[in-house]
Amino acid sequence: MSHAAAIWLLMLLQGTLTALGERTRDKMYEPILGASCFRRLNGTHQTGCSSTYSGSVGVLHLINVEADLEFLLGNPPSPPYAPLIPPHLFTRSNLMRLKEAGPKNISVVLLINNAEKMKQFSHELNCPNQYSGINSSETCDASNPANSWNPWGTGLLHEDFPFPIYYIAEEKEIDKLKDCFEKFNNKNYETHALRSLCAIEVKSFMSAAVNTEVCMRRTNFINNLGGSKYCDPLEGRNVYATVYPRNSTPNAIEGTKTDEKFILVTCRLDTASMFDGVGLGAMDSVVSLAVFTQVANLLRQILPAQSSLPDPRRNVLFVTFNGESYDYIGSQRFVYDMDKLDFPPKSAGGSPIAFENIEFMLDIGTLDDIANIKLHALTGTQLAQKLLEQLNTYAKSPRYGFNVNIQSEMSAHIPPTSAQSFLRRDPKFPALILNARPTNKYYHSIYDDSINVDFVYANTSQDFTQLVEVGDFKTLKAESLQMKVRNISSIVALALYQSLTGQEYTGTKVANPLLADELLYCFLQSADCPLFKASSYPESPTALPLPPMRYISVLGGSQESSGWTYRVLGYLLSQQKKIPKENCTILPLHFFAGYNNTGECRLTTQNYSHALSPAFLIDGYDWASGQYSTWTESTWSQFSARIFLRPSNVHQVTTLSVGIVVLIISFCLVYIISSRSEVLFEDLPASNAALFG
Amino acid sequence: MAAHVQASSLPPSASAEGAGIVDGSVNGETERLERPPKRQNQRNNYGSNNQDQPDAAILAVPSVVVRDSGGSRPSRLSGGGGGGPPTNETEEEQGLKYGAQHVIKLFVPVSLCMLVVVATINSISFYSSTDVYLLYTPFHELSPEPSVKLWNALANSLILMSVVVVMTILLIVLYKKRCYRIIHGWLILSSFMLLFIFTYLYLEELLRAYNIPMDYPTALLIMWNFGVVGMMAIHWQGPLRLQQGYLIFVAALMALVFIKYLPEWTAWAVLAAISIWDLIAVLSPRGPLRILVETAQERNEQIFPALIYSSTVIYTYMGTHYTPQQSQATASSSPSSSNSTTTTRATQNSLASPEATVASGSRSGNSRPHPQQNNQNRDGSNTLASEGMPLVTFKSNLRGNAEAAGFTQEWSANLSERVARRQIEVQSTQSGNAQRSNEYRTVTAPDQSHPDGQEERGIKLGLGDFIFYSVLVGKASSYGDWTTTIACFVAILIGLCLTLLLLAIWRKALPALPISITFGLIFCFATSAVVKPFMENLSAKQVFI
Amino acid sequence: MTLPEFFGCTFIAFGPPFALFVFTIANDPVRIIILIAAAFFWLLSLLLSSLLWFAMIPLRDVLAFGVFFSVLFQECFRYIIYRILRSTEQGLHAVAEDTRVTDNKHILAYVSGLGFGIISGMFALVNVLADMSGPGTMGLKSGTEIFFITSAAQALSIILLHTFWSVIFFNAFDTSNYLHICYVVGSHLFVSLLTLLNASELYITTLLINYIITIITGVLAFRVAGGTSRGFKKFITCQ
Repeated sequence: MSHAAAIWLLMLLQGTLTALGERTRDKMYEPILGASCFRRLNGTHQTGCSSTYSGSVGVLHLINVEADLEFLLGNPPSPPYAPLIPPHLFTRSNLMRLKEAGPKNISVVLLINNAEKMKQFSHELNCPNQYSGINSSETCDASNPANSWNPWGTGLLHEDFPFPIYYIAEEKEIDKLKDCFEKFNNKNYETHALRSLCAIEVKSFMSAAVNTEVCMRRTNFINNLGGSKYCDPLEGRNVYATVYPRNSTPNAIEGTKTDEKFILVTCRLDTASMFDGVGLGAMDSVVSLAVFTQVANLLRQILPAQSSLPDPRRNVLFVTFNGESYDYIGSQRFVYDMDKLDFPPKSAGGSPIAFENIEFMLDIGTLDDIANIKLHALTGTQLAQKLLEQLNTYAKSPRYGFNVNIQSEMSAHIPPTSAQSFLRRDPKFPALILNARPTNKYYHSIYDDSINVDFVYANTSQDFTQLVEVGDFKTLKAESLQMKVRNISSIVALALYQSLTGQEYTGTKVANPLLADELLYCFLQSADCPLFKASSYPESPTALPLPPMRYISVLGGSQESSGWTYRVLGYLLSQQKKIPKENCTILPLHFFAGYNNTGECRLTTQNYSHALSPAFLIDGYDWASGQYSTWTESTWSQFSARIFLRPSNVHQVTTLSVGIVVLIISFCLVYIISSRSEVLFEDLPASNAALFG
Repeated sequence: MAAHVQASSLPPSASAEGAGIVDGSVNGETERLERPPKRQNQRNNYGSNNQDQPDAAILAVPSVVVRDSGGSRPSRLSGGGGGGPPTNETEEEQGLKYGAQHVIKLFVPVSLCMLVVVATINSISFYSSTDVYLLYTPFHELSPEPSVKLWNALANSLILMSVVVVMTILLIVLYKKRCYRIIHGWLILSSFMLLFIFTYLYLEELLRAYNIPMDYPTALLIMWNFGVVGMMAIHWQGPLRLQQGYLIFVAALMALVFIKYLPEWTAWAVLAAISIWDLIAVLSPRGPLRILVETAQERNEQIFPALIYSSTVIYTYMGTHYTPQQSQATASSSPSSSNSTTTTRATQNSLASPEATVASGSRSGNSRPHPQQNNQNRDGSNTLASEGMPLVTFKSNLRGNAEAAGFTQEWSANLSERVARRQIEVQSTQSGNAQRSNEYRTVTAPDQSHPDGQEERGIKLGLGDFIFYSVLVGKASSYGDWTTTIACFVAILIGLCLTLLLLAIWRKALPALPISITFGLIFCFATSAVVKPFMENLSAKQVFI
Repeated sequence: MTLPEFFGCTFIAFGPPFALFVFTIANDPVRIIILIAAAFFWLLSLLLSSLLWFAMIPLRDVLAFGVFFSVLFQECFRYIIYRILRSTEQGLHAVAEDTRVTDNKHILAYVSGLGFGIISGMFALVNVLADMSGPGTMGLKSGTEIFFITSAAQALSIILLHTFWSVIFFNAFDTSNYLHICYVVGSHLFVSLLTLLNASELYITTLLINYIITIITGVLAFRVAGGTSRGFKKFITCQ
């Protein structure tokens, strides 16, 4: 008996899980997964896109060839429409035509992931960060794209659209859209107005508008108890580390400068794209980040102890700047802090570093074509010449067989990299930039991924931390990306070695291509990777098998990329100490899982510095002055899209009028009946009377 | 929070009482009033009411009163009871009859309040998501484990309830010590906060939800007008409808605050706990609310008139106030000789439906309705007020100040003023100058009462009840299922009906929360767990039952 | 936004009951209370039938089972409310402001029937209506465009039917007319089971039959309530 009851109870419990009814709306709507374009603002403009407040609705229309657009741009029968555009038609001219057609005709634009016919796809300007670099017309010429830094740029990233643009990557979702279009819309275009059509609703309303000045004023105005925000400044973290630990004892009084001498090696940490959460920036910055990391690792391993250097005050400072895609946020802040002797941040300890402490800066820019790298400088100096020679020594040395030729260009035609922030402050600043000829057709776009850089993960599971002999390719092909990164990073590291020690490097150990392999894998394919695991605390939860977000984002954003970079730099630029785990808790001591996951205590040097534009620190900053980056990102409540059948006006009007007629008739009828009920029910049956008798 | 609905008869008794009061005032003013007659007397006396009345009337100075009461009485009896002296049964029936009318008069505002809350929950997402928490709910139920959530909810509601209890006791202490100024200031402050700050918050979220831009001058103008009118309507005077509207809105606002800031399970736990507390506080012999009410009656004061929704005017009219309070006060002490008759009557009125019948009779005679129940309502209001206090206080604490607290207690703020005014009025009546006072007292007098239109005494329900009903319905609707919302709504209304029915049967102050909330909770969970899947299955296939 | 559709369907389904409420219920508090009480009893019956459906796990997908018992429960509760109303009739008589409520016992039946109908219609339609206010309409995956309007029309017929049924049912028990009782239960069962055909989108059939039954039931209720063809003629010709 009790058994039966127990079984019954069990079944009931199980039943509760399955007793889920289906709401009508589940049959009406089908969600569509994708990524939305969003709104950013600078000191003078708003860019990006936003839906209407309650969501933009448009009738699906697939654009296969350019001529299909004419249907929408002419006088479409049942506006507004939502064109489904493949990437090769997602051009500036088409988008501008759609924009001109206005939200009355075009309410949503859908970009579908169909890269077949795509030749190029870059939403950045021809001259990225044109107005925040050094003020020279030679730097970049937007009117002559061939001579610009991004010849394929469309500048769509800096346009303001009156409709939401929604990117659908998954094949399954695209099929849903296409099927729906074929089934309901793709016939009898003339009768569109009379039929129910397949439509999409995209919700991506942006609460900020006009420009940063307006939205910061609205956000900061103490007008509400809830503290609502309309926009957030783009904000992230720079990561820096030194090759030798700095003397962290605060022997120096606060504010006094140090007598150290630094070689500054920098690169960019972030990237940009039009759609939220998509875009890896493989070629535009992951490659240079890989080179940067390799240089750091190699230098730390081949350099002798700091005391044995000719000048023991010398050190190398590695900094990777965040937010560089948005008018050099990280480097502007770095320069600003250094000017005020606020670097390194107080929390990190150590005496402040001033510009006088920097011997020179080597900026690793974008390395689109690794075999064809130039050393840029604003003016030809002895320093530049010397470094070029050193670089070429190793680049051309038969001993290493790198076979790279590094040319130089001493002119104001400076690539858009972090060094511009330094040069802008002081054109005489000794900044040297390693940059390749621009060949990236997908600069700052969703297609700048591992395919764009032709990366194939070797997945050797071998130790990637140790240096290797120059002839050891570790099963990689000579022309693979990993080998190219190994080569250029070895060249840079050896040249820097020579600058520091004053001697030529004569060893045969060079950078390990597997380190590049692992790093590229982590940043391009999955954060659940050996390198990230090795540089984490042991037994820390595994990361998601997705590449880390590399958009600078805002305060409270994911900050994945700076976090991982911090750990990786910490791991690679540190010295192992024989200290048990229990005592290895106070920075700069840090405990890492290590390559073998055995756990190692290391003396680290890495740290964060704040990457928030100084514009947001200065009271009464003139937002339109263009001095600092003023980018902010609008807040939004949700991104969502769903398809459904949009009823025709005829159908709606019919329903409504039937309803109204029924209502009116029933009111009249009931009124008449109730007022004359005695006529209607004149004789009551006897039973009635009996009841109350 | 506790609500008491009391059905009592008013008008006829009022007239008699009014007369009595006048006497009292003549003799010894308030002191006399503080000594109520015994209850037993009243009950026994009921039959003799009519006979008593003339005496009372005679005692009453104004001749009008005498006339009116005399005239109206017979007519009432005949009308209501179907001729002849009213039997208990008929009285009861008439009580019910008026009850029915008053039930509707409560249904409408309760429904309106729920409507406001449900509409807000469904249109302003701000109120349906909990991201900030009250100071009083330190456990945020963030764990996915149901067991953890459960103890979190229980702990939270325990804390909340203890705050409520403490604040109630504090209020009683303050009241016993006659610290009227403190209570007064507290109430004014809190009502001010509620009417301005919370309303502003609401306005802001409303504008945001519909993406309507509004400039600050306009917003401030709206807020200022709204707030000041509200303060006046609630604390001082204003059109009845306006006052009722403000009270409903204020209750809805509070309910929204609860829904917004209480974690999911805690909200349900608090609903259950508060109805239990309501039960205890009102019914147990040493229940704090009961003590409060009795104290108030002893002092012959209207405690916190601001804590209740009334279908009639609340401020004004001391004359009437006396009677109701006396009714309960009567329970304890012995009446003074001269007053005894009147008081007894008053008590009868309030305590027993007979009065109600009388009232109904009077109404029929006058051909205009005098909803009774004031007397007991008033008691109810008192209790409400006391109960409301805890709510208020705890809220206020949340916000740092007594902001939230206000609405319920605001009314009490007026208290001292009122007392003073009442005394003045009493004196004036003595002198025979003050027409107004006369009018109020002589409720039965058709001529005088009509112009005011305020004597119609309605049933009263604590704002706390409004709030928690709305919390229940609003919470139910936040799950997005309308059948659950409707089921809760119907269940609460039926619960309210039953409470009123019990009131008519037991004739004493009753808490309005327990039955309604129990029904509401049962139907809410049953509907969302069992009925909803069934109905969804049916409606998906378009099957109608 | 298909608010037009939403309002259209709301008016179709609830316009007539609303008119009935406004003109015949709203001005009498006792009737309002009875209406709500009837709604409550319907809720109870629904709760019971849902519990049964919920407990019968293997039969959950067989809606006919749930519908069958739901109809039986509803009729049981109709009987219960009949007993309650009749037993409190004396009291009501004294209480009611408008003595017609009790003088004409059909009014009680009518009010409670309308309460049954309104709550039943609401439960059937309210979530559909809520879903209707979005930008889309039915038909993307399954169902047709006329889903909403037929739902509304069905709901209206059910509301009216419940009203008529109650009138017939109450009278049948008063007069021990078992044929009428059988008719009420039978037609209720028939109508509910007939709507099972809606799943296969035979809207026209079900609607047509349901409205025919509604009219028949209406005529029967009219006659039961004391209407005659003579009175009807007089009414029509405005005499």
